[in-house]
Amino acid sequence: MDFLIGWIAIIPNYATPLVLASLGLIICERAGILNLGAEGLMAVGAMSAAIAVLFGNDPWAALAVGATAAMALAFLFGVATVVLRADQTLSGLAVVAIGLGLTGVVGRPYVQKTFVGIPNLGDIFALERDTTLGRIVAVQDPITLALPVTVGLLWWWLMRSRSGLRLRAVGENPAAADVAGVDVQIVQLGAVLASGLLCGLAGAYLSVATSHVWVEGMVASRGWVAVALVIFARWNPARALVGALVFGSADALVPRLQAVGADIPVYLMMTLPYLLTLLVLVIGSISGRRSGEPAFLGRIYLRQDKH
Amino acid sequence: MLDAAFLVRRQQPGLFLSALSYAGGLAFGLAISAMLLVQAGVPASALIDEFLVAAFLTSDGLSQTVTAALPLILVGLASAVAMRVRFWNIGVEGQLWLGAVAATWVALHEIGPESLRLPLAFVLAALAGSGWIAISLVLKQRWGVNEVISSLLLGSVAFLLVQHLLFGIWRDPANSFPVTAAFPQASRFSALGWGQLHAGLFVVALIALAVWFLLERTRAGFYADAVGLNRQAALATGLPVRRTLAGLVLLSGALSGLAGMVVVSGTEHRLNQAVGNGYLFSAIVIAYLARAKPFWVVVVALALGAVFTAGNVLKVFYGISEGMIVLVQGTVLISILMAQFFSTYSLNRPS
Amino acid sequence: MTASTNKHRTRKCLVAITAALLASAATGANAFTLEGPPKVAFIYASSAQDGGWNEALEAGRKAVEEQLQVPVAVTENIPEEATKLRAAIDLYVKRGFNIIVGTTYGYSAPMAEAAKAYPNVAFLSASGTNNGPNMESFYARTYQGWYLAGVAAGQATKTKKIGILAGFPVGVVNWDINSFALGARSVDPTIETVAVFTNSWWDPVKEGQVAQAILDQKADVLATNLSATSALDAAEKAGVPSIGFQLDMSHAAPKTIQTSVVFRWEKYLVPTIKEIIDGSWKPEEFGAFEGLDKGVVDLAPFGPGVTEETKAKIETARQAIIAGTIDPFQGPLKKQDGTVVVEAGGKLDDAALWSMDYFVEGITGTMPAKQ
Repeated sequence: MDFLIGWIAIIPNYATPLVLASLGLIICERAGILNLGAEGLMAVGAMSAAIAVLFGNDPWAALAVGATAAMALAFLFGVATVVLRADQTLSGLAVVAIGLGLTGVVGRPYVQKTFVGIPNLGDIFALERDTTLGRIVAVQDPITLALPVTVGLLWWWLMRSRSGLRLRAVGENPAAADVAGVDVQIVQLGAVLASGLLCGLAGAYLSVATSHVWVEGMVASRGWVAVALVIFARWNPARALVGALVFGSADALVPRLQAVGADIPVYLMMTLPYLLTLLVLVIGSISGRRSGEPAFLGRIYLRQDKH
Repeated sequence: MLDAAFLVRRQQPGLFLSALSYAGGLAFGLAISAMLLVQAGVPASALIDEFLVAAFLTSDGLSQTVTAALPLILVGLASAVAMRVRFWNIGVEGQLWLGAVAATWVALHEIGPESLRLPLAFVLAALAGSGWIAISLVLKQRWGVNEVISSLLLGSVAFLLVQHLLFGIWRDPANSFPVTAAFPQASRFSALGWGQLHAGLFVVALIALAVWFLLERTRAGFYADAVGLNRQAALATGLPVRRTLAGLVLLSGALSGLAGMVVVSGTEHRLNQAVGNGYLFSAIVIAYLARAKPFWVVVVALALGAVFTAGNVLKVFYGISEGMIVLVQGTVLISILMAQFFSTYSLNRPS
Repeated sequence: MTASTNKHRTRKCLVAITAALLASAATGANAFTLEGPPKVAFIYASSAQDGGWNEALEAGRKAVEEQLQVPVAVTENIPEEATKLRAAIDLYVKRGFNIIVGTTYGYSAPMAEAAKAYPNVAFLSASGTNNGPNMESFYARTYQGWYLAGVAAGQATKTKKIGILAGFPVGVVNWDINSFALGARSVDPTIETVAVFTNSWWDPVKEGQVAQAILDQKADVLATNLSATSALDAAEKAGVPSIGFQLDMSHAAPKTIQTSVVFRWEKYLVPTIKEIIDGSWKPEEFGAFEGLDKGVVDLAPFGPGVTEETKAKIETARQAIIAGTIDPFQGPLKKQDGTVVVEAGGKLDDAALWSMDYFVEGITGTMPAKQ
């Protein structure tokens, strides 16, 4: 029982950065722009936010700094892919390289400097940690708490609002959207910036909310997991939350099994989240669901293609 | 935005224009990179010195460049072959790991007679690589699972399998480090006496030639281009679309697997946790910049090998960090990508 | 593939190692002489300012530069690949560098090949596994420091449960964990040690999360065997005493830290490089492997919560280890599953230390992969 409580309590901490990044990618890809750059955007977010705190800023302001810095890199990606119609797959990889490289160069003096980050609920409200509920709630932070609401709002906006519909139309059929008076490029650029914002926030969460320290490479492939989760979620924000929770719970389980001395092949166990994701994709396909992939994802729209 | 009204895809971008925009993008990216490097403390004169002289014109530098290029050529070809049929192989590193595992298995467990060790490792590494990508292929063809996600996830799985072996049955028994014992001589490509260059050179050259022949001179290559250009049209004209796709995707995996074998049998002579890192980015960049043409893959891979050689020099003598070198690669890449705009589109008013 | 072929290979491999060692011992009888003026180069696998392993070596490098007044060059981020490392070594040697220090076990084998190619260049390999007439591997008996840390933890715990997180299950890490547990059990033999591998050298996010997993097991002392400080940060938040590693980590947990097990590489590097320059250096046959006595491994200053009684106990243990009256791995020593490793009266030799691939009795944890 104790084991279960501890495990459940920590899962949101694993899932939150994955959810934030996937949400950003979903918005971007729903507008038809394939974004593989999450790892680089998150790296920039993590480093910038950490530097902001180290320069004496409030951790909450630091989150905004991280998000803004990642948006700047996303803007470069947007200029390349939306304005200049460069190849999206490769531009995404270039963003990863630039993000990882830049953080290595700029962040060098700030490695391993511990700082005070975002407090968890237990600290804010001086919660009792003796009860089951107390133990679960105390280790959460305000960001994880706000996450379900964020996901709900984003889902509503994307699937139910007029502007969300417009964004999806751009990703499904830009020619039709164009005819209907939507400025395709402005929408796509906005979507790319949104992905920068949310991926930056995800990265900032890693440094400012979870580990309270920055080191080079600390995103450690979580951006790639987010890329995979988007496909897993069939480009739906609500399912991204579920996917991240599944992935996070599998990930959180491995060290906890070690801590009780379970006799398991650890590295093979660590493949489970990946295999599980693949399995769910296959099951989804067998049960006849469409992949949900935006029809125009990764393709290049020109007004001349309208007719 | 405004330009959308005037932007028109060029029907047939001229060779001159293509080359110009390519060169322009490269020059712009290099200029920015040079500024970054000078800013970081590398004297401007040293840049030309290290890139041209150290990487190509000295005997040591050239042998390093060629040695580094060997696995790059293979992963570049792997990526190019898949790109030809529009299959995104994001799992190059996974297949490379599996190929390295196969070669390591033959070497450590001394499978078969000594004279056949390398050929056996060659075959098994190719099979291991194509076996690994076969999963993505089946998932895609049978259930429509996106190959980007499946090959990406399987790449992570492959690395964990390697960890399982390196910390399990293959760990160095003397100190528990995740490094296998050194390969016996029979499982190493023999040294050519020029730097670290080894007989894998000939193997890679033959493979490159074979892939070039396949893609540029045979019917399979023609099918591949037809499938890549327009799958529906290819199906309609009765081409063997599934077979072509499957064949080339499996070939792509095999080539990645062979890259793993060339690394462990050629230069490392053991398996460790570092041999497969960083090849995905290189593979895709090489294939794209070479427009998926085998000849140009070899050229670009050599150029990238030179970048690694020069990068090593910059690290050693100018204290340039890995971050800076990765940043430079990203900058040059995005600059070239953005410059394609000028040869692909023209700003005409629609008639 | 069967276990027997594998065992066969292992035995053959050991024979080969022994033969090589004998050969090197024979040729290593003469002191090594340097050609040309001394020029030292340090090669790191990642950033030298990593706040941990590399930074501890970097402190040693600075001491060499200051105390010996020799030029010392630094290269960072050379991956653990033979091609890239060899290229860097070649470049240095071509420009007259003749003392090369490599800073990770992954460099050891390629360094050994370079050492054969350049017999007049001295090679020092941190946590390396190869030695020869012009090459010496060096490491510290970190387990001695961890034994003292275990004493501190054993004194501090009330739940009789302490925890440690570590990177990968390699010999040099396993002995730290085991010795930590044994140190604690020297205070109270009922103490249980929870040990978890993060399976990464470099992931502060995961380290914080793993720390929480250990705290959830009711451990009330938390030690980290890794470079990042996020585990100590978690301990500070939970008000749990903590122990750091490699450098003094007190800045991450000023209130709750007890001490850190630290390297003082200058105590090895300065005298060794001086010997190389003087022409009196003879590489150790099995590598340099110093401990508390030479001060290569040590404890950082104690935190505010450490009692005088604890300090005295640690000092007693330190003196006993230096004097040789206590060895952390003396018999009777049992594995986690109860099998006896050393009978009473015996102790583990160095070869058995390096190949340690098990937890000792009193540890709760999982070895990630079975042999």
